[in-house]
Amino acid sequence: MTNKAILQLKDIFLKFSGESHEIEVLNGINLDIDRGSSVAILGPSGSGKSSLLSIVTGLEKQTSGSVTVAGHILDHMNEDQLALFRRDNMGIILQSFHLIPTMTALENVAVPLELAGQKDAMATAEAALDHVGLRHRLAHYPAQLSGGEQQRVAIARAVAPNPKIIFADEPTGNLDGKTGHKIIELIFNLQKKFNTTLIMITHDTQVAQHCDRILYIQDGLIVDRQSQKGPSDEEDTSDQKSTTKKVAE
Amino acid sequence: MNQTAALCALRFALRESRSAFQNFKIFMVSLFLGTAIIAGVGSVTANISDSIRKDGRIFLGGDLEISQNQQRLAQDERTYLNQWGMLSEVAILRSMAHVENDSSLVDLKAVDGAYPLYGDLDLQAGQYIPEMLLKQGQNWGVIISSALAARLNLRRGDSLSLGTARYQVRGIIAKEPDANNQGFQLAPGAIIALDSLFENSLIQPGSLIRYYNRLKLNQGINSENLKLNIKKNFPEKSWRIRDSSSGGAGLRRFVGRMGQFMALVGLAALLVGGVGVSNAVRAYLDDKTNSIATYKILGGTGQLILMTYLGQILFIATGAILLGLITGGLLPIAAGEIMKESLPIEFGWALYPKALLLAAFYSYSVAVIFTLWPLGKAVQLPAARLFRKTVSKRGAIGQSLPYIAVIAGLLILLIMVVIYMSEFRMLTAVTLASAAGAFLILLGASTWAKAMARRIPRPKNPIFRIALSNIYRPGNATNAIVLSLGLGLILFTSIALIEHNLLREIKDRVSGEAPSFFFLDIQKDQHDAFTDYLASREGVQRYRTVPNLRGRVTHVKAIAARHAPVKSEGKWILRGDKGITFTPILPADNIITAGQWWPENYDGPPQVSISKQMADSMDIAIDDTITVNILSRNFTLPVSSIRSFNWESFGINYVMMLDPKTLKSAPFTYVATAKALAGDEREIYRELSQKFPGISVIRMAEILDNAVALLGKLSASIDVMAAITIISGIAVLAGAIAAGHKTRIYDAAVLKVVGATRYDILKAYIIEFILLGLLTGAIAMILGSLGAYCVIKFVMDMSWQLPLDIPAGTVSASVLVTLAFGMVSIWLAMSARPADILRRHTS
Repeated sequence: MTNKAILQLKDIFLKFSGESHEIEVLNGINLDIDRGSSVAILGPSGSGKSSLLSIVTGLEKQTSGSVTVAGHILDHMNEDQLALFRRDNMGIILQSFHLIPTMTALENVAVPLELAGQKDAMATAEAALDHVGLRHRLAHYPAQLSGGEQQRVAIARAVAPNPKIIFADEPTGNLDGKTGHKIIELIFNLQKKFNTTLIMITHDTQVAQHCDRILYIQDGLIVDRQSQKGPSDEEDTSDQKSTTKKVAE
Repeated sequence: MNQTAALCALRFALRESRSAFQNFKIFMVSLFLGTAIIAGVGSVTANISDSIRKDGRIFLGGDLEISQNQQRLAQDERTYLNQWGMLSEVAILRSMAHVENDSSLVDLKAVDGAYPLYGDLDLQAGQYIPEMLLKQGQNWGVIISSALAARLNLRRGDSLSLGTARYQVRGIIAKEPDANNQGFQLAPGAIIALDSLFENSLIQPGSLIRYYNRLKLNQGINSENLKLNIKKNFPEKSWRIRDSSSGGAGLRRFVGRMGQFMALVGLAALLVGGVGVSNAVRAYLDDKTNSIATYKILGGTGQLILMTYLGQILFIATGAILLGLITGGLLPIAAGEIMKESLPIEFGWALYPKALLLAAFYSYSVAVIFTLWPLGKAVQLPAARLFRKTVSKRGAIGQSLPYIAVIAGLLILLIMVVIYMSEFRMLTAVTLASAAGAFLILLGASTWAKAMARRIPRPKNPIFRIALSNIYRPGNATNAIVLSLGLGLILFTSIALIEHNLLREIKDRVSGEAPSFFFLDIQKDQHDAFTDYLASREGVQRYRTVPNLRGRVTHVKAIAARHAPVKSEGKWILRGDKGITFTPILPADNIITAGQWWPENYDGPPQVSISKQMADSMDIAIDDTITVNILSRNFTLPVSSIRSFNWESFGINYVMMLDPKTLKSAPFTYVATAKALAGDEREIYRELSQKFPGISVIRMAEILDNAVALLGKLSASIDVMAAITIISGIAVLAGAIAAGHKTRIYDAAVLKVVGATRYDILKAYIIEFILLGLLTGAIAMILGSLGAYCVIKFVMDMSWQLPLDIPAGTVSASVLVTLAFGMVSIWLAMSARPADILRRHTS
């Protein structure tokens, strides 16, 4: 792992026992992601994108391999330790927003701050909502907000603790084109503003073009890597055991 | 857990509670009902006991009571007692009241001018004054009970005969202050002047009459000290001396026992309510899975999430429990209003913290026990389900162990407290074990039924297929429906079958073996004429007469009776006076188990034959002695034989029988039984009452009617309690059906999209609910019948009969109730528009 790397995956395999056979979801992922960079993960449905995201966020345990985030190895942490690690280091934006319906926008954003014991949690949350343009919606419940507004609250919740990495899983999947566009703009602006690392799962190649790197994942393997900002990072895979193949354009 | 996390949990719990109450209606009803019953029963019982204790002297009729059989106090004894306070004398005896064409057995109370020393004798009209009972013209006065007035069709001013004297009805009793002091009364009551007894033939040597002398103590006299003083001054007297703490003791015992039973039923209702708690929590947390996963993603630990939701649930539970405690705590006010007519005491109201704390403890325990498992399961849900709903690993068994340990620990604590607080610990333990067993069997049967439904070859008809698969599909309500309704129905079926068999046994025995009449107070000089009548009267099938006296055991094997070691089944023999007889011939239904019966012409020293129960309970062997006080004389008697006999044969049986010589010259009366043809009973009763007005005649048919009526009243109150358990179960059933409501609505929408008509959908759901009702009813019928069988055969030792109407009623009730509540859900499901439902489901 280089000094610049905030995330390192080594030989990540994920398998489930199905009713009649074993289901292989990830088949040997190796990956380094630099601090402060933005990475898009593209791939068809069932390729393993969400599974990869759940592993790097500590929400699921890999069958084998190693995950290191911000210098911490996640492999032997228990569930509570992973939850605390997420609280202190990660911001997660999900496709279906997943706001807590019984809390206002302000309270939703304040949750990770309150969990961390921050005394000025409400003030920080208010500032975060201001950043996403929702100062006028502090006391509204999720049911009173539009889809775009709910996603903005989710974004504010993710960035408010000033995390080292932001993960976004299809953040515009449930939004119309115009709204989705604005959301993506917002995410990237915030990423630059707070200088965090961004890892985004998306179907949209146009959205992916905004990122520093694009990873194509298929059948549980990273089959192509493209860097928008520099030479291809093929040298990172030279010692990998996994096979690679070009994705037909 | 650190302070930050604890504060977070509290904050999140309060926020989550904003809209949570609507999800917890059945949860709150279940807890409220159980809490209110237990708190109410405990408070009412304590209130009645306290009120009785406070007014003990009203129940007793004085501060102190000295009583004995067949003898009044001597003058010097009266003089001695008079120095301590006001003395009042009351005599209690049984007699026959005669009007022109009818007669009735009467429990007679003869009172003096000082009666009542405490409390008031209330009449239906007018006010009681002692002068009402005095002789006016040819008639003495009598105040009768409303039962006697109804029995002989009497009104104020009417006349009747008691013994050889004529009495005029001068009032009808509304409330008698010391009525409960006499214990169980065989016949309706009447009050006459004590002086009238001495103009009457009612008192004869050997008559069964007991004299009660009550003292209203002067200021500053302590009843305990006076009792000791009396025993010191009159050591030879076999008086029974009671103070006001004994007043109403029997009633207090009865109230306490009823209270215990009702508390157990309340606990059963609470346990059924626990199923509702579990359902409500599960349904609520099902809706919260995304929130729980979100908390985990944002950094919430398992402990924080557990505390958040447990705190929220306990907060809601507290509301329901508080309401239940307030309702239960205020119940004595309502109970006092209802009971003030029947009990001669002032019902005050007070808070009974012990009853309320106990109810709160039980309710919180049930709430936590039934919440922890579904909560633990929800907390263990992996957060990754937000990314991948279809494939998510279930929590390992190790993660469930802490929850299992806490639930088990709480359950054990709850059981221990319930048993410890009960007066009848063995009975309570058996009841709890039975309830737990019933729960487990219901759960097992429900699980088995689901497995069977899964294995049945899939029906060709899609409607039947849907109905059958709804029973075992994920999220089914089968367990909840079976558990909620099942326990109440088991209780109801058991009670109904026990009542049926009890009544049948009483009626069969009485009509088969029992005599038609019991006769008391047959004087020596009436005996021959009496037996001649019975022997010659057509319709009399058999009769038997036996000499009868009253006596009290004072010593067992030379140890004073109050200190003698006695097993519980024999204690009644040493309590008060008992019937004693003497006979040369061993009665036909008695079997000698030890020693030898005396010869018919026995002429030796006094000896006694005792019952096997007496011998076993007091460890008495042949040649051991007992001392019996008969007519103020002590007889120390060696035991020459021990007999066994069956009390249930309704024959005249005696625990103690003396040899034919010892009491031959004593003043005694005869008792008798006679069996007559049913069609001749009324006429024989009338003839005997007219021919022998002084003889008390007890008709078994009337006793049976009274016993059946009493059983009916008791069973009515038991039925009410069983009904409460069922109501609790119905509330839970409604909740269980409602919990599946959303799924039912969605299913109906999808079925409509694929072409099912409303009638098709209706059929599927009706079949599903009928199947569930049949399953629950069948299990309840089997378990209820089994429970009743065990009680009838092994506890009551009676013959067993299974009438078909009761089990059929159980199954029918189950189907109807399940269908009725299901129909509400079905109706709502059918009315929803598919487009709206499907749109909401995908967004």
